[in-house]
Amino acid sequence: MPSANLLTKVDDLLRGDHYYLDDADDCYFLWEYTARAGFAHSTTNNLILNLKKAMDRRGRPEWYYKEQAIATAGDGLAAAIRATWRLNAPLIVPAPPSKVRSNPQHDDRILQVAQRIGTALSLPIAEMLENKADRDPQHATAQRRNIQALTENLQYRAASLATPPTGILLIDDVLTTGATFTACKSVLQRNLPGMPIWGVFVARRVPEAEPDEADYGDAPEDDDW
Amino acid sequence: MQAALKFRGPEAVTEKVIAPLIELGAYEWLWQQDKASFKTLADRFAAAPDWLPSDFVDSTTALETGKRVVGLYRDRGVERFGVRIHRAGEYPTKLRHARHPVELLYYAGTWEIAELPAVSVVGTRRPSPEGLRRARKLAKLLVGNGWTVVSGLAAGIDTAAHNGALEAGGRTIAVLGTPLSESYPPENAELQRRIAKEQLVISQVPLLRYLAQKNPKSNRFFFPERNVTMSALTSATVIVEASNTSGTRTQARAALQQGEGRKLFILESCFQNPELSWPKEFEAQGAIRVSDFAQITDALGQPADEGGRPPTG
Repeated sequence: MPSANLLTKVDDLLRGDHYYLDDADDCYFLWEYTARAGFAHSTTNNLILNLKKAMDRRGRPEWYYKEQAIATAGDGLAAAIRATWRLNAPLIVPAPPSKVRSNPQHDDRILQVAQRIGTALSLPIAEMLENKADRDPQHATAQRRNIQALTENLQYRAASLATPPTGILLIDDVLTTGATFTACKSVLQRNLPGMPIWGVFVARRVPEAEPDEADYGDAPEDDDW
Repeated sequence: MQAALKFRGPEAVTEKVIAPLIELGAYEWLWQQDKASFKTLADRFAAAPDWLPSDFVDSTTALETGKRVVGLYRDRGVERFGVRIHRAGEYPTKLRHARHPVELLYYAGTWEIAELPAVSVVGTRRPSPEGLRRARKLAKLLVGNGWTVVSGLAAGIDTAAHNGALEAGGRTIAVLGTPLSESYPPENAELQRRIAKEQLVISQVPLLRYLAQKNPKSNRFFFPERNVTMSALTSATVIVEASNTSGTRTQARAALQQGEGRKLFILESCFQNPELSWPKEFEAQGAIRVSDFAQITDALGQPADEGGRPPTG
């Protein structure tokens, strides 16, 4: 009897919810939640809130929930990836934190999720992408609309690997507009021409029934909230 | 060593990915086949537990069927809807408690409401004024105690239950016996629109099969089937005022059969109806006879968080 959830593909039925994605993008997710539905205690919304818990909460009792969320997300994705694909030597690449390493708010949660997947599936991980400067949520609206700015802010680092991969699983927590994915994919493929990139997300955010402008602007893409 | 990456590309072999448009097309296609019913479909999936709907049909047919459904929904005023598919994230595992679990369902509104602790309030389409008053009062009491009220959007008790929950500012889910784009009775179309916009409407009814029926009576079998789903989604069922409509009886039977702590409450007035013998039969099987609403809230206790993951700290 199958038990693991399978990944869901962002296909023609769903793609319209993610402004920047087109039909050449291969994106998959495990769970969903509705934008600003006021359900902080829905299972998935709760998981994402805990996953994104800000770094200044470190050391408080609540930090436990962030560690649990990282484990749940990583183990859930690992089981789903195993159930979904028979992959021939892919490389796992975590989406980069929005803050640079020197910033106290630098949060490597996606790397930790990726590491759990890599350990569970015996796949290599490479941090191939890094933001050159902080993506500031206070001023990010215009930038978020500008894939070029997002792309220019990304630093590419070549990986050193014994076995060349046949494709990249680009791991991130939440798929909202798809801007971050589009920028990361663009930088990866510029440096690795022809490399297939699969976006793999813990969850996708479903826009409200009647999306307003804020759905594509104010809501944080991958910043802490 | 910093070696330049060389890639043998492509190829991940895609084994099992859920593409929602293809899956809903495949589900609708399955429903167009001879002898399709919730039972025969559930039997096919039980015999092949690794299979998705799309494993039963070629992908071109499934995709074309899916597109047709989306187009028909749009033509009929449903611009936004979602699907829940067995084995995808967010599919409610409690639906598997049903004897013939549904593999796919449609919804409109805020799915998160389906996760909240809920109670079904159901009963006759031709209630007494007292029955209507009770249904409304009970719905208000339940939402006041933190429960979501689930009902079937039928005339009578169902309508009173939804309205009572809405009037009290609570949560309510309508589980339809029609596709999302149809309303029964037609005078509940506005209530259905409101619940879809502000709350949650769920339908397990395949659109193409429903629309293909020349005789509307042929679609009646979907109504009792949705009562099974209502029971599966909820911790308890309350039968406010009974008739011999099959839906109420089906739901009572489902509540007892699905187990997992589900409770079945039958209000005293049902026992007073000399035409009905089944309230006593269900009482003998474990249903709780209720003469005071406090018996319901006492027996239910406080709604538990069904989330299963730790709360936000």
